Order: sequence, then C-alpha cells, then structure tokens
Amino acid sequence: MAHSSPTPLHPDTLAARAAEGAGPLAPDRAAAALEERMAALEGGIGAAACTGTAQALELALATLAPEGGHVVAASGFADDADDRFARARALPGLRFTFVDARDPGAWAGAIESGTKLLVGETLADPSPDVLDVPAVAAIAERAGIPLLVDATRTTPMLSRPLDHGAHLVLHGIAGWIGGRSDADGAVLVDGGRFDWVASGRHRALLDASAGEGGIAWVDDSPVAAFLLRAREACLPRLGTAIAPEAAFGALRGLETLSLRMARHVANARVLADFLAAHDAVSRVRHPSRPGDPDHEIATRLYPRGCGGLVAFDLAGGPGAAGKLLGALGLFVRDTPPGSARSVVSRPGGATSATVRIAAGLEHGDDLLDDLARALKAAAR
Amino acid sequence: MIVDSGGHAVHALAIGDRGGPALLLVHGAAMDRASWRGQSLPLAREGVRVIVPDLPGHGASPGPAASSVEAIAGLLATVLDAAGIRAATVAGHSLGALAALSLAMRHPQKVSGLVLFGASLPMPVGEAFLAAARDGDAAAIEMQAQWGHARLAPLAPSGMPGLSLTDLARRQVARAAPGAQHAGLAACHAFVASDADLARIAVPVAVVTGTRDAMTPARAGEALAGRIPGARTVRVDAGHSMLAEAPQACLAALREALE
Repeated sequence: MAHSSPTPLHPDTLAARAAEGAGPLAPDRAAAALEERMAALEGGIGAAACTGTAQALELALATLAPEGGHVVAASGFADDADDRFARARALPGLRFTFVDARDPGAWAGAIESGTKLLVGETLADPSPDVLDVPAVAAIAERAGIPLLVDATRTTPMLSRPLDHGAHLVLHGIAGWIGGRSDADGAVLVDGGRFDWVASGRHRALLDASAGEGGIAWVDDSPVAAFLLRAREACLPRLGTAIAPEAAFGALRGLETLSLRMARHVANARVLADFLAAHDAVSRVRHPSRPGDPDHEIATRLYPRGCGGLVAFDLAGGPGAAGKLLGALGLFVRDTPPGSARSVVSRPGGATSATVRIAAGLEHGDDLLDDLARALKAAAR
Repeated sequence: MIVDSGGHAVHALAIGDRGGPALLLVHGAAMDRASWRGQSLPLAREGVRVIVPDLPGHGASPGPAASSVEAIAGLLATVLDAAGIRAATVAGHSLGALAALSLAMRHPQKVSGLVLFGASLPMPVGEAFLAAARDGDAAAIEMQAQWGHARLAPLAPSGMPGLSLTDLARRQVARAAPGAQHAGLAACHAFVASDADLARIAVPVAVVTGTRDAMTPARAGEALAGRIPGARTVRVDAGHSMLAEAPQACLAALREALE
C-alpha cells in the first residue's frame, strides 16, 4: 500500500526564501548559502560554487580525473567562442570527444575504457535542442560513468536533471538564476547518487593514497565522496571559489526566479508562435511548439515550459537578418541571455540567416510590436 | 579496518593515534559512518583513536541489518576486540545510542564512558513510519529525511557548509540495504531496559538532546538521563540529526566526555 509522507518544500518556496541569513553583513555565509540552496533546489546533497562555468567544469574534472582521461561532451560544448572547457583543457592528460547530443548511439559509441565523465546540457544554444536526459543517463549508468548536465538555460524551475538520472548538475548563475548580466559564477551540484565504488573508474576518489589523511574519499563518505573531494581538496587548490558578492547577488535573484522563468517561458512561446505564422520567417525552433523536432522530449521533461530561447531563419536570407537586427528597438545585443532584457543575436555571424532571441521580462505585446515592425523593415 | 562478525564483513573507519584514548562512534538507522564526519576527523587529528563502523547493511558493510539492539551491541563488542581495544568511550546516535547503552549493560568492562545523542527509552516509532519502511515505500525515506531534521531545515543555514542535509539524508537512507531502515526502526521500537539495568551503569554518561528534535524530543532524552545515575544532559540547538545540524556542539560534548 502507498503511505503518505510529509511533503518537501516546493522549489518555488526554496527559491523565494533563498537569501535569508546571507545578507551583505554575513559575507562568509553567502557562498555556502548559495551552494546549499542550489543543491536543495536540484535535490542534490550539496554543491560547490565557482567564479564561472569554465571553472566549475575544471573543478569537476580536477576532482574526477587528476591523472587525465577522456570526456564525452555534447557538441554544444565545442563552441570556440564560448568554450566552457577552456579551463579544463589546461588540466593534464584530458581528451575530449564531442557528439551529436540528440543521438543516443553517438554517446554510447564515444565511450572508451578511460572515459571519466559525460557532459550534456538540458537546452542547447543557439539552436534550442533538448537533451533526452533519461536516455543519456541510462547509457551513463550502464557504462558506470557519471553524467554531468549543464542546466543553466532551464534552471531548477523548469527541470531537475537529477530526477531524470543525471549525477552532477551545473548552473551558470549570471543570467537566468541571478536575473542579471553583470555578475558571473557557477554552481556544481552533486546528486549523491553515483556509485563510485561500483564504477571503479575514478582512482582519485577510491585510493587511500589520493585521499585526505590516508582515507579514501569513498571511505570518508560513500554518498558524498565527489563533493567532499571537490570542496575540500580541489576548490581551495584551484582558488576559484565564488566571491561573496556574486553569491549574494545570485541568492537575491533566486527569490524571484519562479516568477521570472514563467514570464521568460510565456514570452518565448508568444514570440515563437508569432514568428511561425509570419511570411518573412522560413523556420522557427522552440521546443514547446508542436512539430518542433524536440517537442515530444520537451513535453515529457519540461512540463513547466522549455526556456526562453527562440531560434529562427529569415526567408530573406542573411541580408534580411542584418536588417532585422538593425531595426529592432526593444531587443538588446551583445548581452548574455537570461536577464530582464530581451536579447537578439546572430549566432552564425553575418553570413547566416539565423537569428536567436532570448526572451526577457518585458510585456509580450511590446515585444511583438517591435518584432513585427522590424520584420517589415527587413522585408523591404 | 574490516572485522568478521558471524561471517559478515563489518567495515569500519579506524583513524587517529593508536596510542590515544579510544572512541567508538555508532551511527543510527539507515545511516552510515559519514554521519560522524563532523566529529571523527577533528578528534582523530587531536590524537583520539576513533573507530567508526558501518553497521551491517549500511555504508560499505554488506549483509542483512541486525534486527535487535542487543545484536548490534554484540557486534560492537566484536569490533572493539578486533581492534585490540579493552575499553572505549562509546558514543551513539539514535539507534546507535541504544546499542551503546546495551553494550554498557552487557559488557560493562568494555565501556569507559557513554555519550548518547538523540536518545530516549523507550524509543517508540510510529506505526505509519514502521509500515512504510517495512514495505520499502519511498515515503519512509521522506519521513526520515524530514522528521529527522529541525522543521524547515532546508531554509536554514546548514550545519555542514555547502551540504543540503535533508537531501544528504535521503540519499543515505536510499543507499542502505533493502530492509535495513525497517530493521533499525523496529529494533529501536522494541528495545527495553529496566531501571535496575540502567542503575548498574557506573561510567560517566552524557545524554545530548536537540531542542528541535521531533523524533526523540529533548524532554524524552532528559527523562532517560534521569534514570541513569550521575548522567548529565547537554542541549544543542538542532533537530534529531544533530551530528550534522550542530556538529561543533556535538564535537564539544564528545571532547568533554573524553577529558
């Protein structure tokens, strides 16, 4: 028979009350408070907060593979302009294989005997491809390799990758989490679900000689071995712990996250539907739309919506895309996505007809007016 | 160290100075040695010889979980013998506290002091909790995670910086062997000791209570202390998982017992 249990606090409540006890007068609490709250929001056992996403990935790999090894990552991580592995590449002996994230066979086929970590992202950018986290997590579990998922663009309000089988979760906090574009930082959450002993692939966690005081990290805590090594051995050595001001800013942002994500999602959906019906637009990508290649996965994994990113191609080609950007007034450029302001960019550069919008918090009618006017100008 | 107990390997963390005062730390139902991390490592660094077993079916120790407090006490005696420790200060949390108490009653020569965290006698466990644990229902994990911490603990600063304690407890309970949670809770529920048994305890005893403990309320711990000659009570601001919620205060209570 089913037994009724006490209900855990809803993520909206955990977020709304994030900044308690971590004000500017308690700077020594800010980083830990952010780590604890992000862990609770994800259902993880704890977290480590770093100065940025590249530093968080460096921390994950320094913790798991100080002797080097192989990493399989989604192709979105191969972007030179925003190289999230920029810091990890400097670690000794690491090799990377990038795969088409939407092809489970590619993940399985890329795994080698020395593979230490799989790295995906809930939602890619600029093309908002959705990772089938349960499918890739099953591959990871079968191979005895942890799966790390960058969930920056969905936040814990839309998706909790640990619930879908991921083992580690990463959040950049500058945009969506913090709600601002003027601070940077990232949080690495440990789900406490991976069986490091059964895997046997990560000597740094298993060997007494690699542990603290002659105790292997798994003997210290079978559940928290990764997190303890990351927090106590690696983060202090790397020197990339988040600054208190950045952590406190993110906590303040968390207070309104549930409301902001709902507006980001609603605005993105309105813009995507408008664009799909417009003659000047040849293709629209937003996974909430029926007919989108990832609509089924998005409906299954993201019942609260599928993020604020919309990508579309202009029928008039690259020239029309350039004109559109010039004619838009409300949409800002050269700004990271996820803040209050709607952002427009041309991820493929001047020769591409693709435009990417990150929906902000403005009223949807104003965004539609601006977009309609600019599309008209672009068609001239 | 690994100790053979009735054909089952009991894994234990053995750290600190072999010549130092001996301290045996016993975790609670569905937990493991990591429950004591806030105390075991600092004390080992201070020269205490610390032994922290994973009870069978918990942590690294395989096998079915012991079904009675007395059986756990027998296992603790085996662990002390295997470590060559004649007498130790024995500290336990919850189920582990009852096992420490039972060890002191059955093998008084092996115990030089007792520190009982989150303890009461009797230690009744609600029918719904027992039934959910018996059925392997996930509700039992949620009950232990939430009732085992101060109310609204996820909104408060964690006793272990950077760790989400209720989520950590969920994972620890989920990781215990099938049936281990129920065996531990049922053992707590069934354990009895008479006033005469308690009156025979002749070593220093400290009962550490959590002011926000919903599972073994502070007043129940104080009632237990009142039945043991000379026992003192220490109050800490925490729920039932006081080792993690108030690690420094619990460490201080252990240091005092070792003096």
